[in-house]
Amino acid sequence: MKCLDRVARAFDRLKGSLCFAALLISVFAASEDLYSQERLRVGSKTFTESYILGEILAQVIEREKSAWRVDRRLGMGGSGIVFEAVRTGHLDFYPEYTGTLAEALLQRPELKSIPELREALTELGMTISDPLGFNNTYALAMRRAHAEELGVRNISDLVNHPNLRVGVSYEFLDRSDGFYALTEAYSLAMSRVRGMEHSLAYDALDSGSIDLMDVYTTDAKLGALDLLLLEDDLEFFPRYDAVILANLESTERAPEAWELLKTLEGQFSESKMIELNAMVDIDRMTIEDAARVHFGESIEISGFSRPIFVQELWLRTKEHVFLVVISLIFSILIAVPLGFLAHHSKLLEQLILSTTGIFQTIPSLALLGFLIPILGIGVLPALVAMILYALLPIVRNTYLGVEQIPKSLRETAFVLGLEGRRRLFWIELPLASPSILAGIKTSAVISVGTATLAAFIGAGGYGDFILRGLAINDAWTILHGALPAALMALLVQGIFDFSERWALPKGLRLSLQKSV
Amino acid sequence: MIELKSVSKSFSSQPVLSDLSLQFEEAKTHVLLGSSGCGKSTLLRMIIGLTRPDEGEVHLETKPLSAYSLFERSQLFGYVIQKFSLFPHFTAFQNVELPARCAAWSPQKVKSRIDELSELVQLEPEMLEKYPFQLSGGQQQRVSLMRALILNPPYLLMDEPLSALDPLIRGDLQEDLLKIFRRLEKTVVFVTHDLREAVKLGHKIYLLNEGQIVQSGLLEDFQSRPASEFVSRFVQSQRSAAS
Ligand SMILES: Nc1ncnc2c1ncn2[C@@H]1O[C@H](COP(=O)(O)OP(=O)(O)O)[C@@H](O)[C@H]1O
Ligand SMILES: [Mg+2]
Repeated sequence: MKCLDRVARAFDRLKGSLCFAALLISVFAASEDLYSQERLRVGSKTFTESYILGEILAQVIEREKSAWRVDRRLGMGGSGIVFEAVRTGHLDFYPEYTGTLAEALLQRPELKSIPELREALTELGMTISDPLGFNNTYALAMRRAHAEELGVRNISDLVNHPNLRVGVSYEFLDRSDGFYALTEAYSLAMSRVRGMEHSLAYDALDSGSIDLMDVYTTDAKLGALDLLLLEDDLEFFPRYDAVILANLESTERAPEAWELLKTLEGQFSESKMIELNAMVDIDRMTIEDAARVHFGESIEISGFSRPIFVQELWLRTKEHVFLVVISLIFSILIAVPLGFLAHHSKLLEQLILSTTGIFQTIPSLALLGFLIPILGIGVLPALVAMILYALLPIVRNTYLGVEQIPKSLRETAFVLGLEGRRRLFWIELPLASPSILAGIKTSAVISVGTATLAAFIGAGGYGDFILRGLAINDAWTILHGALPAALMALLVQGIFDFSERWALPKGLRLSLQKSV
Repeated sequence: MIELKSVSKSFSSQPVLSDLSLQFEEAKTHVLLGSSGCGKSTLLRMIIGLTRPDEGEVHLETKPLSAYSLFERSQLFGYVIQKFSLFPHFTAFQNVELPARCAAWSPQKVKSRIDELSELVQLEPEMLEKYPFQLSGGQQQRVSLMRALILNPPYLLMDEPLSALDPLIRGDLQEDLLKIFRRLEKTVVFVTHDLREAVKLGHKIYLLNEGQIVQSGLLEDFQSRPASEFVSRFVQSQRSAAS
């Protein structure tokens, strides 16, 4: 029978793809190992200053034409993720702040001096440089006119204004030197507090939809917007001196590179950093160019006529497609058998449907953070996270597809003596195929979206543009990621709609059309 | 020979069959008759293994049904139900050949057997290339019958195979079925709730009520020596409904 042969052939082809994917991944893993001897991996977090400093770290090594090649993993999600990546040796260097290290990462706020911090870090296999020279601490900012109108100058003055609308970054909300701790120290009772993406909070504050936000003292926009930084009259905020965090082994493996990085110590001041930040955030200079300015090159600012990053777009497209295709293949291979397995007993059904359901409820950043100690950073943990997210729609639709096979057909199969593989491949799989395909389509479209999160752990894809664009608050850069991702989602939808023509058994497709 | 040995069956403590014993002789057409919901399908499903009796046993030849594997049973029984038994993703031909594929027949053998059967059930060969949804109800039932007969099983079980059809087509198919039964001389168990159909097709009629066979034999026996009040009422009501 043609139809059955096709199922068998499709199965064979899947087996081929599985081998292909396994090959690709092992090649990728191997190549990372191979190059780790001569590559230095420099990271950064997802805000402008960290991008710029990360790029400067990369350039200071590259400018010396040393034997080291720099692998940029800029714009990784959250301090926890980058810190963990350095600790586990998946990243060599990135710019960090003393306050963040003591308060949030080591959770030992009593560590104030550089030697103390260095000692604590050494125990974890890491070290830090001396300060780069500027203190980027937290401050609370209000519109100047608004603050004057209310007579607010110090943070203490906020006691009389508990109804101000507060928009603070998520990271700032919870950390031990963050917002809640601050309100306690100052005995504030702010009643309208919400977490916001930091770069969006400026627009919210400027347009008056919030009244108070957290800022860094080197934020580029401090000059451009007329904001008042409230005085920290109780000296609540610790110092946030910028330093370079390094894996100890990396400094031993590449002592010349570490020496080069240490030439950056003491080279920066707050005003210089605000200037560099403003070049990117306000003058729309690229991060690479801003870093070059630091090294004394003069760069012409091209204003709004910004180029399309054609080459990078192509690179990110390849990364994105790779992530989506490979993760989808693995999700299908895992989820379809699980969907069938769920039919064997009530217990399995509960177990499988609820476990795959749970993955969907884990916030993506939390899941990625959880995977780093096990799988490191880069493509592998990104693929694993994407696979986990894509399981549920396929499992559920496979399960429902088999469930919906009419009782009369089920019994006919039994009476005709169809058991095991025959029943599975001749009857259940073809009859459930419309539902399974719909599940795969859902997962594929979702995967195009979740692949943008891969950038958080340095796996590239369109998310790289989006994170960078969000960091520098630049719609043009964001568009480079968001638009192709949206188009790809539509394309995937289209491909699946079209593929129904050959992927579904003909008789089934025609009879479904007729009954509609 | 099919033998039911004091079988009982209840659904959620509602008895459907109670302590029922019965023998179906070889090479005869046996018709199970009774009003809808009286347990005819349950009895048939018990013979083919889709329902297990709570008590009692079903015997085939001399062995209990459980002694046969699923595959052996599929070779012993042909089974035709009212509707929705054809696989929608297979053509009529593919549906019919399914049991032969399981039995690993050669394509030539399948082809000649299907030619033979399409002549027997009077289905135009070009209909075999169509999908079930492209066939009329009558054609679908002819295809189901072909599939039930392809392995030439000694027993043919039919559960109201004509009940979903238009009266006109139903009459035609009754005639055709009668010819087929006569020609094949199989042991047929045929379920219907229609007295006239039972009389037309059956060598022997079994009237089922309240979980028991209340009377078996020919229509004449039912009329001349009704075993109970129910038998005469049943015969009477079907007569008046028909006229
Ligand atoms: N699987 C089942 N679960 C519960 N009740 C059933 C089931 N199968 C049949 N019954 C009930 O058993 C009785 C007999 O059904 P059935 O054998 O299909 O009757 P008939 O074929 O004579 O119309 C009906 O009342 C029906 O509702
Ligand atoms: Mg019935």
